[in-house]
Amino acid sequence: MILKLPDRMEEILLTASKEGVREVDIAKELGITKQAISKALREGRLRLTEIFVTLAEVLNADIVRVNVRKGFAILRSRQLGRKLYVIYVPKKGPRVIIEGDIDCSTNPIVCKEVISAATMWGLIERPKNTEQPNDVMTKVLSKLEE
Amino acid sequence: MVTLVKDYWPCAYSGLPAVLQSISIVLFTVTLLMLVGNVGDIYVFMMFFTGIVLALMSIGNEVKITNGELLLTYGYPFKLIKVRVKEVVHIADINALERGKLFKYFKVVLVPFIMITAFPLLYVLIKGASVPLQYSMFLAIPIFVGAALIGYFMVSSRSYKAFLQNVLRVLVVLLITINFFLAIEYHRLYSGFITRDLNALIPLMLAEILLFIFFVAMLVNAVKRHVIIVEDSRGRYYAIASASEVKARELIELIVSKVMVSDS
Repeated sequence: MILKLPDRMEEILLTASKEGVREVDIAKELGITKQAISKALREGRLRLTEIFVTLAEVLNADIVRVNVRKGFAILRSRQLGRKLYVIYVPKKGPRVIIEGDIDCSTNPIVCKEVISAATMWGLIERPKNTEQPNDVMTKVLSKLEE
Repeated sequence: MVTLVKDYWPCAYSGLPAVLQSISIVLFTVTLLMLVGNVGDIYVFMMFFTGIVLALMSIGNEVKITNGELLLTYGYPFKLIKVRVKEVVHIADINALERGKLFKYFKVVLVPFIMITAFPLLYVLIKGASVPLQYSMFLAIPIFVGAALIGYFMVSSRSYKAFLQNVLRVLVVLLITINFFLAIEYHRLYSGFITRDLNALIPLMLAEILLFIFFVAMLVNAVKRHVIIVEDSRGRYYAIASASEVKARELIELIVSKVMVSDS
């Protein structure tokens, strides 16, 4: 299974993830019918759930939380006993962060992708340039735990 | 079709069941206050009876998964309210989250809890010294129950367990202190020992035992039970209680595979 959604589907899911946005608004913005948006949203969310389920199986983990509106899931590894935070990064696919194992100095690319995705999904506000990536990552993970 | 009846039950935290449950909680408190105030007429009975009926109507009875939908049934012994949950976009075991608070998803449920906490205080303010001594502990019940339920919704599961354990310790000390002062007050008013007056002692003891049982039940509930939050595509939240962490995990797997990964 390919762990990546088509670009158009990602675009629709990201637009729908913003607070207060209705399907009619997305249809107007993208220039397609409301029915097409409803269908694409249903299919996109289904595909995203399948991606998270596949990851849970591959990583031998239990599902603690799945939020396809906001593009993330929390799993618990059966072997490690630790939580695994999964965020879907648009145009890239899902990224997994292990609980207590976040260091942006050793994994700057993953951190950058996750922070960018969290902003796109509306989980956090766009971080200021002065904020340290580790602090922003802590903020992202704490948001997933709310 | 999959039927789950044994270890799961829907919580009355949203929609019509929440409204019925809230009214019943308020009615029970008003009944209690009227009894304390010696208002024992047909209206008290009617209020209590209505409270029981509404409480029974709002009890979570059954959780079913059928044709890619989640079906929550409320009402005991008869299944009266059916809530269909389609297009689930979010599911979470709130007890497994570090900062998961029920308040974030179910704000309205707090209204009756705040009301029942405030009612006895208002009652004392209005009635003042005319509250009979033997029923004074009954006034404490809604305050403690309301505060405990507000805490249950406002703090995370982990914090709540620690909070309740501390509350139980404080409660024991508090009850001993209150009893001591009540005994002194009784002696001052009636020039006798409260332990020799069963009419005064029994209501006081009964209220304290009820309070203690409530807190122990809340602690057991907080330690064992897990609450699963479900959100549909319209942004409506529902809650399902499970008997244990393992059962919660099983239900999440089931909802994810049968409801979320279903294009029916």
